[in-house]
Amino acid sequence: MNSQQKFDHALSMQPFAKREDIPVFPHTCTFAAVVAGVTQADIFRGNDAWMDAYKKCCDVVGYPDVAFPLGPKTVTYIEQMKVRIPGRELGENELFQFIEEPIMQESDYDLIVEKGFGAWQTPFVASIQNPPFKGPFLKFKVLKGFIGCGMEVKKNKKFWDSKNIPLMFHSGTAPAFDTFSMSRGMGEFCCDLYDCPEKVKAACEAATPEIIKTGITGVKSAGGNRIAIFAMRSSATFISTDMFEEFAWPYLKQMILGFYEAGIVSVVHCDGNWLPMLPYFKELPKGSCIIELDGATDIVKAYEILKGYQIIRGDVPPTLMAFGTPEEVTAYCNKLIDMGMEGGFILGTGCEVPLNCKVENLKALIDSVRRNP
Amino acid sequence: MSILVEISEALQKGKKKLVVQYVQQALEEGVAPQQILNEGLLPGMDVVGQKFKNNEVFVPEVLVAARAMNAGAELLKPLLAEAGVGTPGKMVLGTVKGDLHDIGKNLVKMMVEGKGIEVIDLGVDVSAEAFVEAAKEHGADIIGCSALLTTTMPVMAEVVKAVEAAGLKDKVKVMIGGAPVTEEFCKSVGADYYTADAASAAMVAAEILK
Ligand code: B12
Repeated sequence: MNSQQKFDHALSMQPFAKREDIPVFPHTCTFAAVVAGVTQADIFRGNDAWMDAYKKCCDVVGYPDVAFPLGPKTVTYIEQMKVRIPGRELGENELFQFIEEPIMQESDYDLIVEKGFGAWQTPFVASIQNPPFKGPFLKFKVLKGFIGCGMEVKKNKKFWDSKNIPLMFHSGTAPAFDTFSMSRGMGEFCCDLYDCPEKVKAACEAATPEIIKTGITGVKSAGGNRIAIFAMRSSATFISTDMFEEFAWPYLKQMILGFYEAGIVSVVHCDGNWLPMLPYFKELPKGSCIIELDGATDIVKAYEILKGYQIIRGDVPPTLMAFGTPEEVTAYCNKLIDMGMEGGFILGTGCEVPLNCKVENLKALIDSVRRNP
Repeated sequence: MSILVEISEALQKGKKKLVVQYVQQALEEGVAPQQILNEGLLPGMDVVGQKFKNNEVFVPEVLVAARAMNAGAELLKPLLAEAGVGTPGKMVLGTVKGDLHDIGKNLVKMMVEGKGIEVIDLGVDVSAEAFVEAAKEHGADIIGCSALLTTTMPVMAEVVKAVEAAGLKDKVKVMIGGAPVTEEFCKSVGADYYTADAASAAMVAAEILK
């Protein structure tokens, strides 16, 4: 099987015949620079510089079966968070840093209900840019940013298509609950859930259809069929299943279903402990999501719950990649491979490979599916 | 139900206004401020801490409980100061240099304060020198360091060294934590204490100050 076939097979959730058929996806968006011998500032300059580094990294450690679609600069745009940039606010070779600042006000929930999500989101996205977008035509500038991301993915996709390697996703979005949490700030937002729960829910309800619409536009403009959903605050690392059921799940479900109807698979990025939340994903059409775990969720239990329902990607933890030995990485991967042979599994790193990962460890991860133990 | 139990229960539910109302009522009834703190507010926070540790409650529940506790404690502060009641000790707390994750650190702060211990919060991105400077300035008994990144964990070793270099080794205990930190790592850098969660951090801190 080539990489595309392996990936399609994983999505079909049929059992794998051989361990080599399990697709492998190390998330090396920023680590690529380390292997390529360039700085974080270099790959933040633009898509071409990043793609050069990514290809060099693949030449050294081996090509993945699934590729990461966009460079760090574009990632920071679609994740819609304020960011400190390497070579500017940070040292040349430091990782970019998302920062969380309480920018959203309590009154913004009402604004969203009355005037729509865009009325809040446009000035918000403009204000968190570094430097901020200013002047007239803000809406146009923000939209142009999103379309620009789509164009970049489209361009990168051409390269990967020529190698029969699929992209993990083609655009990205976040549920209203998580966006509000990150732009209100954790403390304020938690108090809102107690002080004005109805307002929060009304705003989530008003925002979700617009989020779905924009998401579909993004994916289509890249010529793709998968969307990343960064649900960074909906896990049991932060909230109870009661709260999940009340504030997060109804809208996350609505999103996944909305995308599914448009022929789009949701790649739900599940950092933190999602175990108690996973049974809810059985309510969705089979194969409508890829669940990305980062090591904080017990992946064996997760697989047990979702097997035959949704696809799981994970989850070699960043601490193992940084501090472990290649033998330890191989052993960890072998366990995952044994588990995943029943189907619907993509071997990957827990979230992103940290910058202090050992190159041998990354090689060990990629080789683990390709070499018999 | 005694007023102190009412305070504790309202706190556990995160009912800030009720806590303030009950604390006022208790004061009017002539209950000593120290007793309100030690038998009302702090035990309430203790229950929340235990439940958090056992995954019975989550971050929002802790945050609103801490908010209620602080509102109640605010009323007591001037009275406790007047009565000359001190805290059992002080902790300087922060997230280490290069690291901006502060949700866990803030929970540690709330829980430690829930033991009546004074916490000097240095925020995020704190250098080893800044930890030691603050510990000297405030006469702290404990330095608490949080790190969530594998790349910033080594700063904790620097803190331990800086404490030694400043000759504070016997006076100040270094406590470390954060998702990627382990007991093993704690030993390897020579820090004094590690705990996996905020409620245990508070328990250990209280133990140290006994
Ligand atoms: C929320 C989050 C963020 C938020 C932080 C918001 C904030 N204000 O804190 C944002 C989005 C800003 C963020 C940014 C980044 N993050 Co982040 N983030 C997380 C996430 C999802 C949860 C962390 C959290 O808050 N947990 C909840 C709290 C309650 O748990 P906790 O912190 O562990 O604390 C508990 C205990 O550890 C203990 N404790 C904590 N501190 C202390 C201190 C002492 C003294 C003691 C005794 C105990 C103790 O008590 C707490 C309560 O019980 C984790 C995922 C994960 N699996 O952990 C990633 C994660 C930590 N982030 C990660 C990364 C890579 C980043 C970024 C580099 C991404 C980027 N390129 O921008 C930046 C780094 C910015 C920086 N320089 O710090 C990686 C780290 C990987 C690595 N290298 O080690 C993780 C693990 C995600 C992943 N799987 O890849 N992140």
